[in-house]
Amino acid sequence: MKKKIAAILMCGVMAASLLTGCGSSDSGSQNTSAGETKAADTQAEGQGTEGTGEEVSAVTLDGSWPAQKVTIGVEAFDTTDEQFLALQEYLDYLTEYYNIEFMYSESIANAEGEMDFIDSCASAGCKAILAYYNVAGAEAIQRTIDQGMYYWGTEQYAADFEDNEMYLGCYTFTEEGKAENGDYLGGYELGYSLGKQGVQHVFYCNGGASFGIQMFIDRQAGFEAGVAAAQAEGAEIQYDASKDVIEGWPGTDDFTAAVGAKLAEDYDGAAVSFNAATLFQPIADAGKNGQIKIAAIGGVNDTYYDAVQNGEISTIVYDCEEVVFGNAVAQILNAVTGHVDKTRTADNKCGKILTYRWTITDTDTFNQIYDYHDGGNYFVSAQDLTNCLAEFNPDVTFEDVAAYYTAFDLDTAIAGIQ
Amino acid sequence: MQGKLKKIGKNIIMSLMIPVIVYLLFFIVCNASGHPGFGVGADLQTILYTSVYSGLIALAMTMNLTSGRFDFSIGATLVLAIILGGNIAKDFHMGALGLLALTMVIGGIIGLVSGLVYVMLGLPPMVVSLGLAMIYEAIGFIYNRAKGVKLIGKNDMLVYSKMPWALVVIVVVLVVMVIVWDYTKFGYNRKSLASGQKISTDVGINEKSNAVICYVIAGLLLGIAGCVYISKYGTVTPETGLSSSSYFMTAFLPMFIGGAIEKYSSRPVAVFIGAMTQAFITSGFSRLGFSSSLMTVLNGVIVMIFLIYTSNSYLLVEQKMFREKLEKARAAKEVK
Repeated sequence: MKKKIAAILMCGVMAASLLTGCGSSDSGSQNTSAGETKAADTQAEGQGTEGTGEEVSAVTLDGSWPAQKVTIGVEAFDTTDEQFLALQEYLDYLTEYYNIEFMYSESIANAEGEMDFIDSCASAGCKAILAYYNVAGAEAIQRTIDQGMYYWGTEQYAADFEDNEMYLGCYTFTEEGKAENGDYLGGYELGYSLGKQGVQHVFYCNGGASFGIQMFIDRQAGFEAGVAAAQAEGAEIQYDASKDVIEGWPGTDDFTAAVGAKLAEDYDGAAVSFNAATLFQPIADAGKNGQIKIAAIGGVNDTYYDAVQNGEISTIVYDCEEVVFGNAVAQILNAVTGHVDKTRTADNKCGKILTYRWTITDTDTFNQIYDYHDGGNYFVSAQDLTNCLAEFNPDVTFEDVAAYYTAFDLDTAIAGIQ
Repeated sequence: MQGKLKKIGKNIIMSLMIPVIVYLLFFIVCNASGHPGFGVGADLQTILYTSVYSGLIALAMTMNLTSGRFDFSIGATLVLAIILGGNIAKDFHMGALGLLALTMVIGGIIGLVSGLVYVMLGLPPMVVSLGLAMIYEAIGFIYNRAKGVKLIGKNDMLVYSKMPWALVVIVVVLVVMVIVWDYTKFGYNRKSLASGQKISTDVGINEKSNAVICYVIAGLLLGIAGCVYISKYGTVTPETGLSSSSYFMTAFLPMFIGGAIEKYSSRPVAVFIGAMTQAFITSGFSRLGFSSSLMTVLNGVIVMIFLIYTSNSYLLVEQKMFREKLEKARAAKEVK
């Protein structure tokens, strides 16, 4: 009997621990208790109206709109990823001003896990899925729609669902008329920047490219094109795809051995298609601090702060969370409050919002963005968001919303801070 | 005396034969194929790190697996110990020794908890350790707002992945482990329990306290392994959804090699020799430019070969025994 009780208790604990990281933002420390009134952040009010072309009066957001709480499911591939944590912080910040809450997935490992999460969201009364990650492809979108929820994200399948009003579009890094996707462009920036910075010999950490993971394949293709472009412009950067690539991720003996072998050679540049922090210490141990320039797809956060100040990181390709992914909230809130037409293009297709990756190559720019965020500010504040919401700004169109977010390139953002 | 010396010499040769052959093989192949640098200079540092890190995890796994307890929480214990220990050591400016001591203590405490939960519940160790792994992962995730531990640039703390500290650590660990494994009451009891639990408990050996001590020692070893890992990379992020299991995947080959050659030395030493062999193989493949996926396949094949050998090595002994008996019988017949 004792064993049975113990086994039941153990099962309960296992089930509870599986849900770690899930749960709504209501438990977050930044959230307001029911009824608590917060003054809206009005810092960027002027900037906010620029993009939409509409004048919106300052609105006091007290967390009471929408009248019925909107729960949004958020899919993540790694709940410990720095970018995801930054996005989570932004979304939790929004819950202080809007009557919304977010239900975060655990790290989604496979299509089955994603489908289970979508089903859980439907059971929990979610109105929409914010697909920060998609592994099940079109099936995940279809399942979400079948469950009566809106779906935002996953550009790859946008064309398949463009006529379906339950599909709210996505962000895109690809300008109209161009074919390269965001991962390709991110990789391109890594290669091109290092070439222009005078790096002579570079190695590339390709993450999951050799394991067939598409985003890493695209990044590597982009990196190689970036190197070639820099070479075409006279840069002396050398890269040989058959010799200068490290496959996989840190934590394995293979990766350790490969990094050790590369650091013993004459490389003065490293491009990393994932979190580059894992290279800092091996480089320091090899006595090559300051001798190897690192370019990485990363973030403006504590992880990179010291490395940028010390000059170890020379290029960061950064997706500003509130700009690239934050537009999902505008689209979802418009849809769930009965203004789905505001999420559609003039020809009644789903909307794709062009956003820009920010390529940061100097310490000042990094520090300005870091300090801005560190001071509790966002490039798209809760107040700014009202400019994109039909309930606050009845004349807004999808084109206005898209133009607002597209306007945030790196120069505009820095100008906004200054 | 001469016989004893001969036996010691044979044991040393047999123990070191596998890593030496592997080293020489890769050294020759790498140099002959125009990939110099294997096993010397910086590559030797990498081999040392890999041997120590994988060796410590393999030793921790050996503590329980040889007694039939598969501990699924090994990776989670390592991650949690270093996240807690690393952050506290950083906040209190405890230095390298402080980091090691604190992480070991935390690892030991986690091991104690695992051991106590196992003996108190009496459930299969796989089930218990699965549950505990999830709990440890969850604690590591919640602590420090999922940011894990970052000691990048704190070179005064991160000394355990390179000479001389990596060597000091592994030598001390091996000396202590050999004593504990082969020359203490705990070690004898453990061996006895591993070979026959019913008889052992009948003669008065307390299997529960022995199991708890095994878990504690494994926890201590994982704490050290965590220090070695963070010394290499400067950062450890929390794991969720049982992804911490990837941490002990490198422990199997050293364990199997250790199992194959333990009769020539002590088990802890044999396991470390196995870890060294694995490090030579990994480094050699890397130097030859093998892709990661090909290396994974080859490592799998090598593990398989050792599994087949260790599972069937008794057949060789049996054959030898039968041959000897047959010869004796024939000799006796001739005498008649």
